[in-house]
Amino acid sequence: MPYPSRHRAYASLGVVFIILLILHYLGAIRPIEQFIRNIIMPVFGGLHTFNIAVGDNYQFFRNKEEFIKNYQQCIATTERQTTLSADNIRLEDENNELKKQLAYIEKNKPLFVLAQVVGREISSIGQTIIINRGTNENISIDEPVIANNGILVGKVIKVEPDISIVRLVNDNQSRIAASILNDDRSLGIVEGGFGISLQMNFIPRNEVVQVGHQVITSGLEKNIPRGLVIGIVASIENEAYKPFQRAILTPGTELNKLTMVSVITNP
Amino acid sequence: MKNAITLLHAIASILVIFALHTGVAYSAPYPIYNLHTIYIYLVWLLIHSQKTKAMWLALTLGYLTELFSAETFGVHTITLLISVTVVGWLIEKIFTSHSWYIILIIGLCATLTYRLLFILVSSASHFFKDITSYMTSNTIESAGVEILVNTTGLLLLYGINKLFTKRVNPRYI
Repeated sequence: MPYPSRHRAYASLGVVFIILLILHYLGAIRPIEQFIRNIIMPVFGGLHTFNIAVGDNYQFFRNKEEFIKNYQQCIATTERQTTLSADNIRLEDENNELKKQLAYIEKNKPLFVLAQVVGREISSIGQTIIINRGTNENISIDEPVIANNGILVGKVIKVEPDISIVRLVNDNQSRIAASILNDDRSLGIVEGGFGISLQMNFIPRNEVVQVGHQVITSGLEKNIPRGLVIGIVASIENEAYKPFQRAILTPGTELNKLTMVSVITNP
Repeated sequence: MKNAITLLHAIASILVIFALHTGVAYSAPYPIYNLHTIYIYLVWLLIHSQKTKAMWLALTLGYLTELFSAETFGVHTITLLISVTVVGWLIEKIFTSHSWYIILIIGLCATLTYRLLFILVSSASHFFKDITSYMTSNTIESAGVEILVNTTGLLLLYGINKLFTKRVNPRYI
């Protein structure tokens, strides 16, 4: 039988926990919580930066031939991207001109809040990151978070005055309405929970999807605008007995090496 | 004066354990970053019959974890408190001897209890908000790795402790 002193300890522990819960939900201990966060956050940030700096930043090749082949592929990709970039600028100019001619009025222009990734959530089985911006910068739940000028990395799932927690697209609870940039503009749902890759489900079987096709947000989801890059199709599973085909995607950016992101606050 | 020293000691322990946990989670390579340093330390205290201390530490360390968590406030603390109570009872009533095998079983049971409780409490907290499915292959795999890593960590701690308290203890040499 436990000693009476132990009973007293458990009782006081329970009381303290309940008081803590009540005070937290009333917001009475918010300044203390912010103070603790302000102390710990630089440590988190330092560790996160250190982890990215010393992490796996090298790519190994089996032999010289493989290295040369990869190098040539890299040059070809760069050349293709240079051409595409020039095309893009020309199209952008054309688009702006057409907008002017149509007296296009930009309503609710999206605002971007730049944020630093200060770490990832500890003691979690999900894929989440912590950013150093919160309700003080008008960030709210379900807003999209992007990296590298337009690659969707996740959605805000929790906001505090000074920090926000972002669920990454590869988290097992992440679901994003997406569209493939193929001839049919196939629609589907991009899901996480498969390690570093993503899966796009519910693509109709009769639509042609190829490796290398880009996947973007479809705009059919509240708060997520159309056109944010999610990733590239890496492989396709199209079984005769299934009503839909499935694509495995490579995310548009390395999700475990994020340092700066932007939150679209008025999507 | 004695109380002040005890308080300072407690604060220092909390900070060191939290820093260790964060350091391992952020900087260690796979699969070591799955090691739940806080929980291992609490189980270690339970093995050494310091249940009350373990409970208070569970409360404070759980609270610190909540401040940087996406889960509903209270989920981590409740999970830690319940698992420490359950594991404490198991150690007190069932796993009374502290051999290698028993430490191995404690490690497995403790992490399994913690992870199952976490999924249960978290799902309950999301019940009215959204549908949460933790039962994906990825989650089960990471939970499995966590169980193995935590058990290995606990066994390693046990081995080091045994080495220093028994084999290389000057009193026995």
